[in-house]
Amino acid sequence: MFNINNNRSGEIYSLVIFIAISITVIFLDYKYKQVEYLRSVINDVIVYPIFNLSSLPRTLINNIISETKNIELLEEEISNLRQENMKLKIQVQELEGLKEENKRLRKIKVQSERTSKKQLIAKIISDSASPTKNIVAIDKGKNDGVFVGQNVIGIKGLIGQVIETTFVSSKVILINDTSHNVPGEINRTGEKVIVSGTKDKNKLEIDFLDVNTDIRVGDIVSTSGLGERFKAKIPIGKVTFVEQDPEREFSEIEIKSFENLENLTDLILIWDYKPNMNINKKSDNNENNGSKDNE
Amino acid sequence: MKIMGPKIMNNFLVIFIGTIISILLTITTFPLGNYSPDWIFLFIIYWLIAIPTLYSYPLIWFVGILADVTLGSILGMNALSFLILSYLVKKNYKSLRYFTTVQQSLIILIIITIKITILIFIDDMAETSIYDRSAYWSGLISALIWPIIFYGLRHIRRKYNIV
Repeated sequence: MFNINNNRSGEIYSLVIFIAISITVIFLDYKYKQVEYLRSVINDVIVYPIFNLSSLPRTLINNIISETKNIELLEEEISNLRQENMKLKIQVQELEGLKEENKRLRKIKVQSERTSKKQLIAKIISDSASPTKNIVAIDKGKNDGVFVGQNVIGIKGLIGQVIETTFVSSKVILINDTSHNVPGEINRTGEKVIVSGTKDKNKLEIDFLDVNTDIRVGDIVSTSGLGERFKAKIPIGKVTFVEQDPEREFSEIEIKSFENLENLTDLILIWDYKPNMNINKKSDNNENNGSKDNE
Repeated sequence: MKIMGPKIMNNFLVIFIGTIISILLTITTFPLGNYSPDWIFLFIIYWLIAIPTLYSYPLIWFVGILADVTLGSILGMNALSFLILSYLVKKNYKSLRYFTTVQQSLIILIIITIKITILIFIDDMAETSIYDRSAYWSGLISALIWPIIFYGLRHIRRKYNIV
């Protein structure tokens, strides 16, 4: 690969050939998504190890901090946990009974099979996997069955969706990205809204909601399931600010997400909802259609 | 032929380690967003000025593809801009070598600005909206950081006697 051509004309030929290859690759990637496989391979072989390398210092520091924790504190914690364990064991016995009952009831209800589907907890390998967007990289990929469009939730609520998968890792766009919109509804009134990200990572907002709409601080917003991208009834956040100026057409609404999107710990990938990805293809030119990820 | 063996090995190591370090720096400066310098291309520019034969066009293309995968942009975007600008640098490496560091920084500013213009142009056509106008800040930051890269890499080149 090195020093092949010392003569100038040979170099120019290789320049022209590789410019042509670049343009072809750009075209293939943009138009047909043909080179996804190539991207996956390069990502897994070269970029993924470097990503891991870059998160090494942080992991090391975290480990050191947790190991040097005061021993007394730990002993105290152990005794606390023992007590708690006792209590919980008693509760578990009660729960065993309830579990049996629950199982029996589930058999009766046909829909119940939806709740028992696969779930996976993913670890974050990079907080910011893109220079301009709120995208995180996780350590689960195609090998674990992750697919593009998959809903990603946390313990408290919605986090985002998968936008790119390779064999061992994937990228997740968070709901607080400025280009990301989630079709949602206000739980109290059932009003359908679109929740989008803002420049401020902690805040989400609702655009284009009429000033006369009934919405209050403290209302809980969850996904509506419209657009067939997100499973319905996943909690998104709580309304923290409402300004309804009658002279203006739309009200200004800020939402605080239930999940701490700036410092995520665990992500849960869910398999019980298969988003309809064809919708996006049909309305390719019609941009503001539910959720979009600009890919 | 006896001398060729270690030399090629040495060159390979320089390119390999340099590329990995530049990608590492790119990843660690992701939180800076558009204010992060264009590490990968700055590394290439240094070696193009110092030893124009070290990076052949196929290799520059490959590093460009790596940059695309890292940044999550359309595959080939960075590769194309790297190729076009590397041609300009390769053509003028002799005069670039005799510039002072400040003059070189100005040239870097121009080069990165052209590069971002190409990227924004492709980005607009493909409607992926990865780059916006504020990406031009990257050129200024790259120009400011150029002296560090220049003296740092020159130190390495002299220490390990890479020719």
